[in-house]
Amino acid sequence: MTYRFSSDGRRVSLLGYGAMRMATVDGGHANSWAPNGYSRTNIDQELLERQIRMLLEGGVNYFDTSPAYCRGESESRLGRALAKSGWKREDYLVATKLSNFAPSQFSLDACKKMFETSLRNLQTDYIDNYLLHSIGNDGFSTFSRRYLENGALDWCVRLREEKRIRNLGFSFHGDPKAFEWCMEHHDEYRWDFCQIQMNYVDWRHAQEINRRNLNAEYLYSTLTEKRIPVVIMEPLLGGRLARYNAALARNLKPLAPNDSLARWAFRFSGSMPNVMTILSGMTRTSDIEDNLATFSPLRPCTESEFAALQKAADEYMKSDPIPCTACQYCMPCPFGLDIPSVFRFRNEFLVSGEEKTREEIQAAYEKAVPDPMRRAERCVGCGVCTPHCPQQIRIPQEMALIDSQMNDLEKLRFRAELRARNEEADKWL
Amino acid sequence: MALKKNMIPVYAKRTVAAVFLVLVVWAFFGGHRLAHVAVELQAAPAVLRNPWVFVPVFLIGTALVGRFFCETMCPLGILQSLVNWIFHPKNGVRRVCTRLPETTAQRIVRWSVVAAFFAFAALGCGAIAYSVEPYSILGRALTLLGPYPLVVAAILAAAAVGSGRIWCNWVCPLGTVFALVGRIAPWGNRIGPRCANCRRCFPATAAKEPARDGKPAPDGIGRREVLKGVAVLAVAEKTTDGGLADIVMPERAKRKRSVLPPGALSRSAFGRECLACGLCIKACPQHVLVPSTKSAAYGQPELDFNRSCCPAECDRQCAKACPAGAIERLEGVGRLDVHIGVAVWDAEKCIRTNGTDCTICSRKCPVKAVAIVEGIPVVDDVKCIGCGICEHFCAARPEPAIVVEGLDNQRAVRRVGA
Repeated sequence: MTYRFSSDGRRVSLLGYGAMRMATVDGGHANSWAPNGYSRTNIDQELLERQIRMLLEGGVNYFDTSPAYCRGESESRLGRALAKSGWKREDYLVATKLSNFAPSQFSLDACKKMFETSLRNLQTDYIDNYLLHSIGNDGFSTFSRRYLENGALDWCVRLREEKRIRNLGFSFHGDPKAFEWCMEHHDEYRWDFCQIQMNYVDWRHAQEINRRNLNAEYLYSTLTEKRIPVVIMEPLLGGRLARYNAALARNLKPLAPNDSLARWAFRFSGSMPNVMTILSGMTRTSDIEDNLATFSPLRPCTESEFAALQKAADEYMKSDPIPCTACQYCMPCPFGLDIPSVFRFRNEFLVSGEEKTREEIQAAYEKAVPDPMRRAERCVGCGVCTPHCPQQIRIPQEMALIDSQMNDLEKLRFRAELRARNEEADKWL
Repeated sequence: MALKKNMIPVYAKRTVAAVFLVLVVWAFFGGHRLAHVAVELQAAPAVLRNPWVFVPVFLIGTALVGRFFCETMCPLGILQSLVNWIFHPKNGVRRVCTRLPETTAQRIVRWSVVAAFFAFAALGCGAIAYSVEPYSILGRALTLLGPYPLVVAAILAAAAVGSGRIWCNWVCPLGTVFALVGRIAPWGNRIGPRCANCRRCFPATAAKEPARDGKPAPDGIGRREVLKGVAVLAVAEKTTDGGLADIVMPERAKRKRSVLPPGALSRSAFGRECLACGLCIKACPQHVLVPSTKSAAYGQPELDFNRSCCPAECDRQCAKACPAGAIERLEGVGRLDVHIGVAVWDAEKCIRTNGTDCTICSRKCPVKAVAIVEGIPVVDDVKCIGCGICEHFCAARPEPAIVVEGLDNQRAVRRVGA
């Protein structure tokens, strides 16, 4: 295992575990569909405990969670698994967040309560890395209300002085103003680390996906300049850079036929010297095995490999993917939609450049979102989800587009069915 | 086996009967147009569609050769004969002696049913009148409507234990009329001077007689299996289910006027002409048609937008299926040109009223008939074709907030030059 160092001199494994995509007993996992639709409740605790032990034995010592993950179960499940692992508390680092997204949690009292609950759930009396969660989500004013006006940030600094948290940082998505504000006030608050979304696609294409995004290259170099260690999230874009994709496979597989696409993405981020740890929400045990192999030790990318990755990213972007990472912040949709599964289906089956038949697409949709009540057609456009999306996806608009595309296919299918019926009825005549 | 000359008409009749039975049943399972022709030749649909041709055809035919319809064309009659033959294989001889003396009770039942039948038909309550019409009964049973599968089972059971087609001879109004007319048939089956008074027409004695043509009768079990096969065919429709628990399905909308299939046109004419046979319900590719449960229209189709909708792309398979012409085919008139209802929005039920910025009725409307004006869904009832997509997708619970009210007179636009 390759290790890097945190601001306070701790050895941190370059691979960290992200507790957002725990496996569920019904064969599903947080970023995928289950046979019975979508489930995050039935987390497979036994499997989780085995996986955590495996990670610890493999040298992973950074575990990142949040009170919001897995319907609020992530912290307690992870806490239980770590406590039962047999490893001592000082052998690993725990990161959790001040995830006060709801207006009812904006008050300082609510924030304090959230912190105490996190400690209890994680069965510990201190947090190694504490984060302001997704600053910039829903604009600067929300950032201000969540952390500045209520004095939560000052309270976090006090927590650090009291050693109840060891490092203070923030995770950033969304409004660049929040990021710039934090950078301007670095001297005042002294950020120990910063968590950003980085991968070979977001390196130069984030802004192209959404004008309000900042490219990872810019974020990384700014943080490096300020000597703030970087924690990477979404190194695989919620699995999009790990699953089969024609553009990625075409560019990367010939260079190393045995390497998984995921390994390429990890090697890209791991090659950056100021990266402290790269979080991966490993759901399957095979993901853990593959990732441990990738990081033990991590082989940095060569110049030509960087070029190949950039080319793969350029080609990948031509398919115009919806930048969903299946983080589930938008869920649950009050109208029952399975937003991440719809988007995943869309990215895999409704993209130009790859020829797919109508039958294939419709069958894939039925498999991806088995319940019609959870498909794009049921989106009422209420927009409740939009402010929650860290990727700032305009979810209702995308849903309407997907619905109209699928509706066109359905019309074709229906006309074909009518034609077939009429022909069948007139056969032999 | 030598073909006995006097049996040739019997075999011919059986062949025709078998063909009709198969075709009519097939029509309910996505059958060929030929199957559909067999349905269209059923007495009630044919007469409803074209009385000036078919009333004379059936009456004159019966007046000449007797109750040919009941024996060779009516699926319920044929089924009864089949069941009767399976349980009493050696009664073949009875086919010569169909006209057993009528009892007084039988006469009273028969003619009361006929009186009720014509009274309801005259009153425009087709659904009630045709509840004793044999083709319609079989159709209702095949579409699993209410008690009808049991009704058919009872009719067949009576045929199995009794002598002859009990139902035709005791209840069926068509049977009664045909029997009356058939009395004068010069070439009909009747007890004639050639009757040897063998009493073979009574099952109790017939069982003791050897098979007439010397053909060994296949054993009873085999034939019961034939019966079972038919029964399985009749219930071969399955229902599906699905859905996750945390999705609340809407209740059926309470509409003042039901929505009729596109082409029903006038509600009163439709009520008169629809046999409630269920063929359109079977034929609907969207599965949006369901049998009505209202007493006056029992079994007649109406649209249930909870299940699906009646889309603009459809070529109105229901109209193609209707044997009675109750859903008019209207050649050259597309689904878009038939306005079957108008969507009506209710502020009290709508989730917009609670501040949810829902626009699904407007977004899903295929003819852009719903606009959100100043935050209020407004229906353009000139554009609205009553497809029910807005109702189907409405997110309000328990009942949809936008509901299609059926039209009593559907508007069908015939395009010039079409």
